[in-house]
Amino acid sequence: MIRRIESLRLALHRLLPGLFLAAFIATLLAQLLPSLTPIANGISAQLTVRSITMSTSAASAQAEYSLTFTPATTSVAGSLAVDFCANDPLISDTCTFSAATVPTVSSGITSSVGTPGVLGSGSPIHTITVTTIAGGFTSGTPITINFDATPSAHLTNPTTNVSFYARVLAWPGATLATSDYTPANTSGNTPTVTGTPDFGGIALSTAANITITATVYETLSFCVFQTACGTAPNLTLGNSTTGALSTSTAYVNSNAQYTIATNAGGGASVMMTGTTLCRPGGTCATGVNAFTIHAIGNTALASSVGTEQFGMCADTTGATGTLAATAPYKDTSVNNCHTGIATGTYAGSALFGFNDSAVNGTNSAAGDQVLASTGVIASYTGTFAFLGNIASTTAAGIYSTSLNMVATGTF
Amino acid sequence: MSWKQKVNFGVVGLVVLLLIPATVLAAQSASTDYQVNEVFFGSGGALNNCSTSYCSKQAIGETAVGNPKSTNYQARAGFNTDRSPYLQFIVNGTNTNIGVLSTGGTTTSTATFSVKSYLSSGYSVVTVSNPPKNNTYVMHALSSPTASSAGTEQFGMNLVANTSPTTFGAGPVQNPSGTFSFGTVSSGYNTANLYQYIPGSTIASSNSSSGETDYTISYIFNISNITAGGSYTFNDVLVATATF
Repeated sequence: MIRRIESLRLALHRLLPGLFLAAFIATLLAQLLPSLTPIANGISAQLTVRSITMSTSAASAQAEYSLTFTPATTSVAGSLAVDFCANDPLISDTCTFSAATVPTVSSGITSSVGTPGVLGSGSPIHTITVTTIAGGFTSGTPITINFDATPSAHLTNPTTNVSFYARVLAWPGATLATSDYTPANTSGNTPTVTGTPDFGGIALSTAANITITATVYETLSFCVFQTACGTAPNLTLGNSTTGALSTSTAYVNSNAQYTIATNAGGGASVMMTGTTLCRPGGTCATGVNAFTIHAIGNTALASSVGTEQFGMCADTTGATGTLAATAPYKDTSVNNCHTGIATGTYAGSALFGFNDSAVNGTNSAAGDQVLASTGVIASYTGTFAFLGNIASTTAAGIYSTSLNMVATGTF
Repeated sequence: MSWKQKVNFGVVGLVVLLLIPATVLAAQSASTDYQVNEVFFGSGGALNNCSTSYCSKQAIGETAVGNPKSTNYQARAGFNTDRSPYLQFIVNGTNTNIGVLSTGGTTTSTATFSVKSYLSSGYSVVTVSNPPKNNTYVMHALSSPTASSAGTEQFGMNLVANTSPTTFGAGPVQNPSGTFSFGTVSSGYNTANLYQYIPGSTIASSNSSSGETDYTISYIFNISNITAGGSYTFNDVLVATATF
């Protein structure tokens, strides 16, 4: 018995150095192993210089996300997953998610590179995949992938203002097996990873918007005058001495002016109501009428001496924006109702019109349009020029008319 | 060496080894050339001490904490530094009605936001919205830094303290101090009394991980006599992007 104990003691004596050496090495390896193996779960290296730029940070907004990163590993093919989590960007951690805290993605999402898709089940889906990335990854060369370039319901921001995270994993293969990455909504909050993807975390945030509302009052000023706004034009059309029209001479009076300005974004319209020149004793109705000087009508015409004519044109020379005279008051000749238009006798070629139709002309309730714009009008002053000619059959008398102009803005 | 001596030697060796603190690694942030991992040195704490139900980070006897930074390098010192990158972006969402604009004077307004970016290589804040709009009419935005001019249609902003057209606004405030926070106002928006607005432009940024910087946006509104009448709405959407 004593010999046996002595034998065991000697054996233990021989084994002790080996046991302690083994324990020493094992302990040392246990201490250093984390340093030699960067990341658990077989994940290899970290993607660098990584970011996601959102097209909008508004909660619940449909957005474009632009992912940029620098691969750590070169591969001829590539695929990746972008998993959005609410709690942290660490690949090995659990992933919490809800529509309020992470983006909601869906099948049909587009990407600028490769073939996009989504992973996971349940609600919300919060993991984007891209496979068949042409050319794979090149270590040190940044790559940018735009998701949902035309923002749609396939990529929607979290519904609350919150900080959240993207976990980006990049595999060297062109395809991605379902088992390569199982997101939290399928795995039960702990994503599982197979293979050795490079990885990286990104923090993002939705935020409130700043809304400022201001009002600009609508303005419209319109004035028809002879010398200054407030002096109603009272014009004589005819010989400066006798005041009479002539069968041998045309007369023009351009002493009526107008000023118009508006900030109406939809523009403004000036309508005119009234009759053609008319003498007492009868009606001033449209058409052939013994008591009127015949209106030129809805087609602008040049002066014709010896022919009964009453017409008008509107000068908009120098007006900015879209202000213009409308037919038949728009002189489309070279004169533009401006050149050679002066009060007195007239022998020029400017075009005049006067639509006194009771249906859609000056004798109608709405009147006939004289000026119009499709946008705002900076303050502009122009003239209205009137033309008078008579025929030998024109009845003698004192002819007059009162024309009313109404400007309306479209705001 | 007797067996007792060998036993003593071995026990002492194991004890020494066990006293060497374990190195805990969690890869965090990297640049093109360098990668920095969160490393725990010392024996006064642990990064991730967990029981069945709870985990904690522990620290005792710290001798140096803070955020040392040079032109090219930056570090977070202390046992309780967080290992997660982080972006905190808070826009103090306001819904302000500034009333009726006038050709005779400038209307101003302010809004604030703050950014904190942790373990990043910096961040940028971009304003992505179109200028104030009234149906299809868009108010004229200043495309370069310009002084306010009443009677001329202008919309612009800056992020500094101004004295013209009135005293309003404020420059960025580093919180808790310039030692920890480094956000700056971008060119074009950083000159007092000059305003601009370019959709898609960067208005603030930091070129390093930064504590909280509080920014104040100063807006100006001027109209002319042809500024389209109606109600204008400006829905300023700011987007913060951090690079890790």
